[in-house]
Amino acid sequence: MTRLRQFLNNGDVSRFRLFFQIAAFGFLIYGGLLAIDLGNTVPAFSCVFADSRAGACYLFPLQHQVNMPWKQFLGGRGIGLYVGIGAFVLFFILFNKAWCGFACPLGALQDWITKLRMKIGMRYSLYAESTFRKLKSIKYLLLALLILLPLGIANSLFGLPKLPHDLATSYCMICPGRTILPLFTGDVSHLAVDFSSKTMTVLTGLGMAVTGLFLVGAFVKKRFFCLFCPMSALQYVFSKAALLRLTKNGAKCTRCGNCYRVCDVGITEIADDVTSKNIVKDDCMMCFKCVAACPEGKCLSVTFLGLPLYDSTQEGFAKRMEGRDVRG
Amino acid sequence: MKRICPVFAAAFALLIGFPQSSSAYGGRGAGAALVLSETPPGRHGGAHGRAQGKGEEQAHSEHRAGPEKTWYLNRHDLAPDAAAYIVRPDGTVAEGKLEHGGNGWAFKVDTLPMDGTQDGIFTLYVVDRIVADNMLQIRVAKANMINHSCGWGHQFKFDKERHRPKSLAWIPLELVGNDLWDASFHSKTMSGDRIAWTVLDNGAASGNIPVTFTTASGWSRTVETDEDGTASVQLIRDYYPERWIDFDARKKNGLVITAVREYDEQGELDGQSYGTVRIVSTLAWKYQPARADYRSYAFGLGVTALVAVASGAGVYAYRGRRRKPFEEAEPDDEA
Amino acid sequence: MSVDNERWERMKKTAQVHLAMEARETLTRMEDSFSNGPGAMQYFYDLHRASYCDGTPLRTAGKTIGTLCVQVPEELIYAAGAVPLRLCSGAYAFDQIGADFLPAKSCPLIKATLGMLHIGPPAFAGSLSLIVNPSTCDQKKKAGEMLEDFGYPVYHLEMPPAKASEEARVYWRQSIKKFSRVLEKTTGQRITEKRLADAIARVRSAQTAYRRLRDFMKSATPPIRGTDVMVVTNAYFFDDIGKWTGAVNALCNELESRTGTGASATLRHAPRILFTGSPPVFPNLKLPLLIEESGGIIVADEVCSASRLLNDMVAFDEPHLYDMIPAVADRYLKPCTCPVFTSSEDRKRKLVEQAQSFDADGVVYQSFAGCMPYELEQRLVGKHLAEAEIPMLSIETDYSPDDAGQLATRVEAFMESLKGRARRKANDEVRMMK
Repeated sequence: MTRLRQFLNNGDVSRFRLFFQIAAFGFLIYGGLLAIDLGNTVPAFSCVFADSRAGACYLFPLQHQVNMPWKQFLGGRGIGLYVGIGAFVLFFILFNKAWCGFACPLGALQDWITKLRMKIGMRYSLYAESTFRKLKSIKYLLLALLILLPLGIANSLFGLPKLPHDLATSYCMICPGRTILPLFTGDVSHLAVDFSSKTMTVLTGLGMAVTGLFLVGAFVKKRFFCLFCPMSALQYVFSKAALLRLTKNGAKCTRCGNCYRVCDVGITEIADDVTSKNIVKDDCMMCFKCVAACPEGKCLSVTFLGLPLYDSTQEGFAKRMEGRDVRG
Repeated sequence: MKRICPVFAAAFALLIGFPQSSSAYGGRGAGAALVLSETPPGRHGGAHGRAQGKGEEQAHSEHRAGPEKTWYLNRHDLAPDAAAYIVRPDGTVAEGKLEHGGNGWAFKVDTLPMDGTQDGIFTLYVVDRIVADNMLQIRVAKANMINHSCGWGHQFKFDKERHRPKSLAWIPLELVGNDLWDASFHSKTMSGDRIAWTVLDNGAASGNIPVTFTTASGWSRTVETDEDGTASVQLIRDYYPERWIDFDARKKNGLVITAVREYDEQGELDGQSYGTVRIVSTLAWKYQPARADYRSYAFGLGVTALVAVASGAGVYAYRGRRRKPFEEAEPDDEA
Repeated sequence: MSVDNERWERMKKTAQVHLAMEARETLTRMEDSFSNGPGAMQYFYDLHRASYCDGTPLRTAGKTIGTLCVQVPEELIYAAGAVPLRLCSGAYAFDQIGADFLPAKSCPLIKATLGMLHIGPPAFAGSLSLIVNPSTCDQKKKAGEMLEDFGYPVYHLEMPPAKASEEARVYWRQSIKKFSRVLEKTTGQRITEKRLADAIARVRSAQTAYRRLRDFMKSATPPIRGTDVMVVTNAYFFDDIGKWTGAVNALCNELESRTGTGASATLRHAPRILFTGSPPVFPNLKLPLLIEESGGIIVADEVCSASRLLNDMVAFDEPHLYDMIPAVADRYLKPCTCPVFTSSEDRKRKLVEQAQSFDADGVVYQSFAGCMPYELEQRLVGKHLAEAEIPMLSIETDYSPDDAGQLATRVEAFMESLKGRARRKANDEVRMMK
């Protein structure tokens, strides 16, 4: 058992994740061709508009399901919504936010764009801490909007008239997943601005603008979009109940900051917080690069149902650093 | 539906009033074609139970399945032996109950259970026969009804069979459309498209039959079927509202496809003998404005390129700031 | 003039002789008291003898860059093709020289270092292309300026007074980036990605070897003395890093073969001490030797002449200089437990963690007379250790051997109290079991 644990702890999780992401991308985007259907509550951007998807990203059905008059919340359609939420939570708590780091096709795409930038040798961009703190609340705003807007279509909210039906899946209209992921199935139809109504013009125009911003942003900033992702916000609500956990033993931490340095999203608490045990923050995508970069034994640990899966060890750290390929 | 109904009904009423060719419309007053429609003839569309907005019809009829739908006929003069048939996606056939009410003749189509087992295309027929002036006049009105809710999933996405509307083999002169729905059961006939219909006579392809395509806006074309029984025509692009703001991308325009066949045959029906047979078969269909009329790739990619270049330049300029020496505020030289 | 010159030469010679005497005495004390010690330690004893007693020059490839303080990034120096040499001196002989021109109340380490450099660079070092002086404590800062006055080329590496704020970290990264340019200019060699990666790897091998050695002290019967470990880490100041790593690994191999044979560096129930405070630099191992001669054993240390030199390892994300250089910078600032910062939080936590993982019975806190940072932190650290129920002995001393007797009494008393405490705890446990 100890040998197995040593083997796991010495492993290069980043290399494993690279291959896993490629497989997950193929699975989620093309799995429908093999009649695989994970349902409508996938906690990753398995975009609905990719025709051969293996299951739908939960945000699209969520927006549809919430779009009902108040009294129907207590009826059959309400049950559909609650069952959907329940299924989403069940899917999610299996792997916690590792859905983001290992399975999300849009996340994988950003990682590939980052690798491209690294190959060119261009420096990455960093946010100042105050900027980071302000930007991270955008995802909660988007999550609130994607629930409130459909509600506002079926009901009159805050005394406003009912909203136009074109706002039914407004988040999907602005999400870069909608424009980019269907390209992998040969579907370019989402790259157009739809002038059929004012709402659609604005939404699709905004969607294309977000796509442009996404491409540049992902190029200069690691995992650019993940800071703004409403799926991440929704997942974080349930993160404490998850079975896969990332924990920190603050006493062992020397605050060397290695974990922060490798963190794609730029979470400072991973390095500076030495009191919390559950160290998964709302932006964390559980890629476990931090665990791989920690030289103190058992300071950071990945556990599943309490069973240790991947611990930080000095030996593993040294092995992984040895294996880095640095060209002149 | 609500908006085009009066147009549709009025235009069509006008159309069938004019004899286009003696073979198409003639004979009895009841020789005019029988057409099925979702809305009662000559009236504003009935309540669909939901607030209407632009593009609302599609949401009601294509994305949200209803437990029951009523189909109306455009004429009051049905023969006593008129029968309605409902072919379900699983192949079973049921008889529809034709009732004459305030809105004329109608029958209800029941799509229960609403759990996805009847996910697919319903085919509806109304067939009636009457003998007049030594002619047996058979009228067939056909419609295809989609029963699909996205909530049932899209497991038939790659099942071509399920996407093909079922038909009854014994129908004399039937119109079958090709490739009417996309993989997610959204109808995809758009103005400007080339559409093709096949005429089947008791299940066999039937050539040299004149097929007339008539839109609710008044355009019409007649084509003869080839030896495979297929007639194809390019639909007109005819949706040009006065103001951009009135443009409705989901606006359904009605289309009626009519096939007529007349031939000599001796026979007897209900004690009356006849020497010629005339079959007039219709299929009611819809089309929507072409996507190219309201979608622009140029704008889309242009916006993306603009934003990408602007943000790229912004990042570049921001990074360039690091090279500039530390700026100091200069005091004013004035004493 | 010639009288001054003569005096000068005499001072130099006397200092060398005194230094050799101190070094020899320390080494003899160590070698003799642990006769059954691991043979691999001989390499380190001989190395010190050669450098301190015989003045044998070290052969270093490339330029030598002197460093004062542990915050100077060695990886960058190696990547620029030079060799770092830690200049902090522990010699009383040089302390006395420095006392001539420095205030009486100043830190003995500064006096010794400046005294040493006043009469010329260390005999074994050869010439120094640059001295890098991080702006840590006040005395080091002024020492840097004085060295410039002596004629040395000094680079003042600007270090922030805090380490947790974003501004401080950004400032330090900028400071290090500027420093890397200075290094390149000094050595004439560019820092490339490959060279820096190699340097990081070399330092990491040394650090791994050190951790391996240190981990032996976790055992209930440590196979080596804490003072030996201090001699080993002191060799890191000036030895060739490759040779040093090899020698440490050889030592570890030997220690591994000794575990289980019952060979221990100490008697059973010897009080286990965590040593912290102002750094004991060879040959000033006065207090550590006293502790071990009084029956204790230093199982761990939290000083910048030993564990802080080698504890934290550099990790970088992208194999390019824009990431590697800030990564190196961060390693020297973020985990640094030097008392010059605004917060002693990390040092307090580290002491408690070390005490727990090495199972220390007590802490000996050494502060040099005149060393303000350590003396001021003593109260804060003491309070924290008291809350963690770890006994602490505070000792203020300097380089002079005069207070050895007085110190021995205090140290022995502390050892006794620790032994008594351990006995009481064992009795309590037995009573509780009953």
